[in-house]
Amino acid sequence: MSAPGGEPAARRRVTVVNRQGIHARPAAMLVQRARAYACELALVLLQAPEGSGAEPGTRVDAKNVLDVMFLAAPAGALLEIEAHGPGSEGAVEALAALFAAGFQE
Amino acid sequence: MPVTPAMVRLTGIPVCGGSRVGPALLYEESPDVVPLPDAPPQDLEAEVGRLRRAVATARGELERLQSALGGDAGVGGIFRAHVLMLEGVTQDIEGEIRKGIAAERAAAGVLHAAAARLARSPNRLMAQRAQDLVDVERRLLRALSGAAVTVGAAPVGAGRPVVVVARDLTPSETALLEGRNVAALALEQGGVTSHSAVIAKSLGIACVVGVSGLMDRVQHGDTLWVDGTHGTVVLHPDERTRAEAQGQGERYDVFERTLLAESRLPCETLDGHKVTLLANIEFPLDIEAGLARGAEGVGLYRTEFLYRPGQPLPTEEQHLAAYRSTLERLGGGRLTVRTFDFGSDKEGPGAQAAEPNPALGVRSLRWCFVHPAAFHTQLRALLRVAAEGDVRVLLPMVGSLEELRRARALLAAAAQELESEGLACRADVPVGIMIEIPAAAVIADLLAAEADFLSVGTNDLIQYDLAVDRLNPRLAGLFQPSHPSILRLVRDTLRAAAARGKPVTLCGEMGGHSIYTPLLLGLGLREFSLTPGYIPRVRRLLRGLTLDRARRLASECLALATAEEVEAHLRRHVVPLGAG
Repeated sequence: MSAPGGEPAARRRVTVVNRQGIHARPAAMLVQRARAYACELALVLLQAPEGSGAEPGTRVDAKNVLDVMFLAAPAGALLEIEAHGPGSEGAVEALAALFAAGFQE
Repeated sequence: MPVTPAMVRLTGIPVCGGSRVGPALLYEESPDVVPLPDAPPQDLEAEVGRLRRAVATARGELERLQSALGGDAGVGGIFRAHVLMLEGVTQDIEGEIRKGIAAERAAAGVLHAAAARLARSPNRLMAQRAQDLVDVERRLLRALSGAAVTVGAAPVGAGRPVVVVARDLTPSETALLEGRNVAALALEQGGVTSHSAVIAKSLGIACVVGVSGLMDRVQHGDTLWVDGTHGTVVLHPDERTRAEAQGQGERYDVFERTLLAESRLPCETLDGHKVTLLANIEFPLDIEAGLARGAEGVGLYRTEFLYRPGQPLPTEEQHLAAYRSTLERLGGGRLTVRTFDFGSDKEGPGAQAAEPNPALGVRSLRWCFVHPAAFHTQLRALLRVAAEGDVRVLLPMVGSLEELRRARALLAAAAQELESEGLACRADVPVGIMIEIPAAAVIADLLAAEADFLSVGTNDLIQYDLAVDRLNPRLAGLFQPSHPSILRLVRDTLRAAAARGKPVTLCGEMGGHSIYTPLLLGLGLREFSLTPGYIPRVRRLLRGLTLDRARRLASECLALATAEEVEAHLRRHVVPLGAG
C-alpha cells in the first residue's frame, strides 16, 4: 500500500505487547475495529526485534485482514498507525487501545 | 439425436438410510479440479457481478457456520476470520476481472498468490493460516461454479433436492449440508466411522461412502439414485429403477416417521427394564438432533473441535462457553465431556515429527500429559461448568490405574486453584474412563474400583484388540465387532463394573448398529450413547425385547467360535425383530 499524499491527519506509535504477535485473531479484531471508521488507516512497521524476519518500512492497509496478516508484526515490534480523512483522531485512538490491551490475550 | 446414457450401478459402504433420487451436484474439493475457463469474459461488468454474487453466497455460508458453531467463542470464530479474508481479496479479484480474466481464474490467481505469500511468513502461526486461504478459495470457486452450472434449462438444484457428490468432505463442509436442499450424499472416499459419515448420520440424510469410480463417472446434473441402506449408487437410473427407488424411499420415510414418533415413549424392555439412551455429539446442532430423538443426555461430547489446526488452543473461557451452551440446551440432562482426544485420526496442536505409529503414539490422555497447560485449561473449565449442572468428565485412552490417578491429581490441583481464586467449581465432579485399550478391559475390575463410571469405546477397542486399522479400507472385513474376543471384553467390562456398582456406557459405533442391540443388552449394557440418527431404531428394538430373550441371545453368541457365526446367528434372530 502506498502512502496517500500529504501528512496523515493523525498518527500514533504503538508496541505489540501480546506474546504471539499480531496473528490471525488480533488481525481480525484490528480490521473489524478499523472498518468502523471512514478514514484511511495504515500500519507501518518501524522496528522489529532482531531475527523476527519482519521487514521494517512495510506499510499495510489496516482495513485488509490479509495485509495485516502479511505484516505479521511480532511481539516487541514498534508500529505507527497512520490515518487520513474524517474521524482520524478517534480511529487512531481506538486502534491504539487494542494494542495497549494486547488484543485481550 | 440424444442418446439415453446407460445405467451404471456403483457399490460403496452404506452409512445411513433412505433412498433418494436427484440431480448430482459435484462438490469440488480442490481448485485444481475446478475447470478454470480460458476464454476471457465477454462482459466484464457482468463477470464482476457474478463474482459479487458468489462472494455473497460464500459469505452467507460462513456466517451460518459461524453462528451454528458457537460464534466468536467457539469454532465459529474461525469462520469469522474467513469472512474477513474473503472481503480482503474481493477488490483484488475484481481488479483482475477488469483486466479481462474470468472470475474463477481471477479468484484462484489472487487467492493462490495470497496463500503463497502467507506461507512464507516468518511468523509460524501466520504461515499456517495459508490453509485457511485455501479453504476460502475452495468455497468461493464452488460458489462461482454453483451459480454457473446448468443442465438443459434447469440449473442444478433449482427447487429440486440435490445429491451432493464429492471425493471427501471435511466435517465443516458436511455440517453445511444441514438445512439445505440436499437429498443425499455420496462420497468416493471415507469410511463409516469418518467424521463426515458421522455428521451425515446426525443430519439424517441418505449417505453412501467409499464409492470407487464415483468422481470419474458422475457429471453435474446427472441423475443419481443413492441407496443409503444398501450402499449403492445408481447413475442414470432407468424408468423402472426410478420407480423402485421411489417406492423404497417412501417405505423408508414412513418407517422413519413412525420411529421418530416413538421418541417420546419410555425406553424400556417389554418386561420393564429401563435402558438409558444418550447422544454422541460433536457440534451444537447434534444436540438438537439428539433431543428430537429423545436422548436423555449426552454420553460423549467430543472436544477436539474446539481446536482448529494452526489456531491457538481454546482459552478457559472458550471451553466454558462451549460446555455451558451445550449444558443449557440439555435442560437438566447429563453432559459427559471427553477430554482432548488428539492424535489418532485427529492431529493435535504441537504435533512432533510424524509419529511412526500414531495409533500407538502420543495421543489422547498421553498428549494431555505432555501438554499440561492445555489440559489444565480444559480441566479448569470442566470443574467450573460442573458447578452448574450434571457434568461428567471422561478420560480417553486410559491403559492403567496410574493414568487415572494422575489425571485425578491434576483435577484436584485445578479445583484447589479455582477455590483459592474464589471461582465456583465442583471438586468432586464424576470422573470416568474410556475402555478402549484392551488392557483396560482386562483390568476393568481394578479401574472400576476407582473410576466413577466406564465408557466402552468400541471403535478403538476393536482396532487395538484385533490389530486392525479401522480406517484402512483393505482391512474392512477384519474389523469385526462380533469377534468372540470383543464380546468377551465387553462382557467382562460390564461384569467388573456391575460388581462395583459403577455404571457403564457404550459409545462406539457398534452400539448404533441395531443388529447388536439385543446382544449388548443381554451382556448387561444399560446405557447406550449413540449418534443421534441411530437412536430411534435402537429404541424400537429395545422396546420389543425382553431381558430374558436378550440374555439368551447373548449366551448363545458367546458360545460361538467365530465372528462369522455370531453375525449369522444375529441375522437369523435379530433382523426379524426389525434390526437393520
